[in-house]
Amino acid sequence: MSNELAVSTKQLTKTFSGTEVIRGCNISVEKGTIYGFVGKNGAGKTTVIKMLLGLLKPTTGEVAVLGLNPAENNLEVLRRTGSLVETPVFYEHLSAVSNLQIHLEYMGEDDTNIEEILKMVGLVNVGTQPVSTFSLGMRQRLGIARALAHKPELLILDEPVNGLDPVGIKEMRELFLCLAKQKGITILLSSHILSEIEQIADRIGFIVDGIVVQEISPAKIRENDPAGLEDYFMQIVNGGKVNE
Amino acid sequence: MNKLTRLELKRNSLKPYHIAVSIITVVILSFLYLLAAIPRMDAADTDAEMFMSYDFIVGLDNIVSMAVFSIMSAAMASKFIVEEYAGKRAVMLFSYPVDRKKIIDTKIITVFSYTVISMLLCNGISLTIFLVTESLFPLCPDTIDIGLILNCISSMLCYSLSAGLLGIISLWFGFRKKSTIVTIISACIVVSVLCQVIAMTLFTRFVLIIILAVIFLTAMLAWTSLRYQIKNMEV
Repeated sequence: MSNELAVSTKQLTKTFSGTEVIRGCNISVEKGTIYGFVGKNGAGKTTVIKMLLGLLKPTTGEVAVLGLNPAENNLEVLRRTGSLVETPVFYEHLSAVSNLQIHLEYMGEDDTNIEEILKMVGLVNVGTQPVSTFSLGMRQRLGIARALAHKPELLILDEPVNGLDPVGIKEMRELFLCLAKQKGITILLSSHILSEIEQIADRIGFIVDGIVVQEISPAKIRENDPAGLEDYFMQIVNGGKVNE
Repeated sequence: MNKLTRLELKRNSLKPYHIAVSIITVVILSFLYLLAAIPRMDAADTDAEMFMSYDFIVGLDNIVSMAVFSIMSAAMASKFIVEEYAGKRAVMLFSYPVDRKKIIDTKIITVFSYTVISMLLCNGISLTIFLVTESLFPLCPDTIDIGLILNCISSMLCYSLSAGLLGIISLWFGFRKKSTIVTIISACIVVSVLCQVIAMTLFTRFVLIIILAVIFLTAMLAWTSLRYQIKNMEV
């Protein structure tokens, strides 16, 4: 696998109770880019993401995250990666700052300015307010802050803009672009909001029934299909445009 | 390990357990006076003669304390461990770059230590108050001597360790089902059986040592099994 790739998988499979849910999945994410991961509900996005983080073990196939195998070098992969998987959970009785302090201590990082990180994700004036009182959008912002707090090289975000209002979505879009383009952080994110993916991703991977059927840039999509990503996505999930 | 313990205590407040231990201490102290007063309540009852010995009262007090603290330990283990490894919380826990075995070891040691120390404190305080008042205004006709004090200390230590170990055994059952209810019910069942066995032996020291050894071995097996399950857990 290339050294220039932050994430790559080769013929990755995952079987649960005899059912193969990921079937020979190949993805490649170049360093410093934003990779959009799209597919219908149940297509296998979260399962692939969990295998990248070592939370699930692949049944067969190869995975490399920052040049490491997450199953063998799990702690190193986790140290260098920030993640948000499914709906983020927190220590509900504690404040946003306390939650981040605990996270940073586990991560072994002590020179992070927590206030700055919270400001970066738009969580201001939350003071000592416990997380249990946060709205869905605030929790999502805090989840992103936690993924960013320990200064990772790679961000793996599973539906990070879920629950955010249009202002929040725009702010996160600008933040992700800034992190990738100015700080060189690689971002792999899944989302159902296709317009967002289209605006920020350098490359988009389409997963259908456990197989990544296509990896393509948004520019190429516009060339092939002037109607845009939504139309293209519909064609792919309905069985067309596979492995072009 | 110290850092992990500190983080564990930062995440999970001990305040509810401090309150529970304070209430248990008051109840145990009242229970001691109740046991000592039984022969006075019905002087004609020959069965009440058993309660005229401090050894018997202390033995019964220890066994009741062990039952109560085992159940408290199971409740604490379900909060600190079972709930943390169930569902989405496990994703967060496994996202930290810390050896999974170290995290579970820290959690088990925290719950075990809290159970043992709090039971020692609870029984230490209640027995001290009881024996001091008994030496001044005795309810029980038995005499207080150094042998009794040493017996109180050694048995308190044995039963406190047993309570902590029983918490680990109940945790194993609860962890298999990822259920708080199963953890607590397991503690109730295991402790009921054990209390019956100990009561039948009339607190014979030799039998107590054998029971403690068996509990210790079972708890160590449960601990090893939990470490293995967590190491291979997929979330």
